[in-house]
Amino acid sequence: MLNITNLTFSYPKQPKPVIDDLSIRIEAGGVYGLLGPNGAGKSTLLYLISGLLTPKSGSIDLFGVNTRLRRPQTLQDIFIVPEEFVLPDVTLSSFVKTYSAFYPNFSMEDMKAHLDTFEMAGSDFRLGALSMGQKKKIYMSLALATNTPLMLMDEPTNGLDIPGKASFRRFIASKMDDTRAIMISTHQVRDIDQLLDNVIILDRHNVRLVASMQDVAERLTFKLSNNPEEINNALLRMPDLNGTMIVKPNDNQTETNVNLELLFQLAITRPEIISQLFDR
Amino acid sequence: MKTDKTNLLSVLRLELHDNGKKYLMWTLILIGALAAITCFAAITSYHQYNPSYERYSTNDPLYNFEHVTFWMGIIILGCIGASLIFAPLKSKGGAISNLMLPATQLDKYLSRWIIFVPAFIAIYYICFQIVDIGRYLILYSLLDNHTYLHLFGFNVFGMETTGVCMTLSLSLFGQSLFVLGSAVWPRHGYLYTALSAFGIIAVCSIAAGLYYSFLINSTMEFYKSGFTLNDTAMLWTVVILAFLGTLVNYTLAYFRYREIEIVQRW
Repeated sequence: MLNITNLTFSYPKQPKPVIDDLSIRIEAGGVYGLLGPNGAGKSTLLYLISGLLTPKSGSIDLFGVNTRLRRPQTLQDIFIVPEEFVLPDVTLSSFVKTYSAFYPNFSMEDMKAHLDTFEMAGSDFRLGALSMGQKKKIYMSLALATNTPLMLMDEPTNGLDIPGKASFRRFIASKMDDTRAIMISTHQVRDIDQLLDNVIILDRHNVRLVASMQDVAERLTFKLSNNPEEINNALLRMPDLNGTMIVKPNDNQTETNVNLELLFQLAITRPEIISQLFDR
Repeated sequence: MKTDKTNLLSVLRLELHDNGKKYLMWTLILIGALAAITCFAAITSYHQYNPSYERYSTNDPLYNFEHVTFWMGIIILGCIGASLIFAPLKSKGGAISNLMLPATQLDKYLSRWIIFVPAFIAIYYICFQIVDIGRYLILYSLLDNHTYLHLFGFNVFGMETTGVCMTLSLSLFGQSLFVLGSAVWPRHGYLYTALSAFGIIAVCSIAAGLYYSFLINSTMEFYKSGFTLNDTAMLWTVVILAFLGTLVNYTLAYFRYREIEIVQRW
């Protein structure tokens, strides 16, 4: 669906590229988690995919069309929920009516269902009077109701209350099918760890890891350990209240739940291990 | 709800939907400001009115002031309005909403252009006439002598067709410069464009002055041939050049907008 080929991008007056020779293929039917430290280029990558920035070199094609051309047909296939966004000061119903006209696959039933999930259905709010979190719920409801094949989300859970985060996870899971891909960039890994099918970890200028969660679970074991020998031999260890969380190669083919925080730390601090294990 | 084609009208509808309240507020402020200016002028002009002055039997004492106000408003407010044409691109959030809307860049550009250029002129003209009718009705009820009280109507332009064409073409050119400036500098576009225009005019004036003094002192034959343009030819040349310049500016602004990104590269 989305092909990113040899992508390089640098900001003006910055000698080093933010993204250097990145190649990824995004297929429909998966939720992709985009992780990385601050300044690693996560938001930049989302903007590049949306055609909001021009690559220095390389290409980004969605269904074979360069997204930078910003053709209306391509824009109908992408919806980005940025960290900062603006909503007009109009009523919810008129907002939905006006914007939905631009998206051929928009579903009013879905919109109502999402608003209901966020406990925002029933009233015709004036958007200007809402809090940032409420605006985000409405914007994300619209985003998901447009049914675009590619959905990009930048820190979607920032500003959401605890029930809002739970609702977000619920409806992301409910929206997934074989026709769409969702890419979520976030630091709040615990908000999305159960949702992800694939993980992409970026570090300064480089991709450290692109893998499915299944692949990660097959190759690595994440566990809490109190065994000193096991802790010493681990690829990565992190003290925890009940012992030490460790990552080690999955030698006995028993799959454990992937701990994204540990995976992220491993990818950043020991990239050579990740390269070795995942053949990058 | 299924639609598969959006066009200029859809984008224009969206633009008015999102910003209609703001535009209405600006229109009301414009009417208020014009009414305040007109009231102030009326108080001073009618106070100084001399009934023996024959001209006032056919011309309202406010005519001159109103003509100047009308054209100054068109030019100054037109340029300020034009420099707001790309205001949504000022913030990252606004730029993302604008650029990610599934419509052609041309439709998005034209929808804003229609509002800030022709619609502005039409609304400004209507506001001016509303204020003038208000002034006429109020003064008619207040004053005993109505001989010098007139509605401006189409006389608001205050000049002949050629003069109107020239002033309008120059003001459109000025507007287009500010549209281009806004495309290059979405933030503080008005200031930067005004400074740039001032700089260019200053440089051109100095160059023209130097060239003119060179010609006066030269012995070049073409200067001595006595070739001159008459006033009408000169006027229409300026009008045509201004319109061509306007087209060039709008085209450049469109191409700049088409390539715009959320982080400026140049």
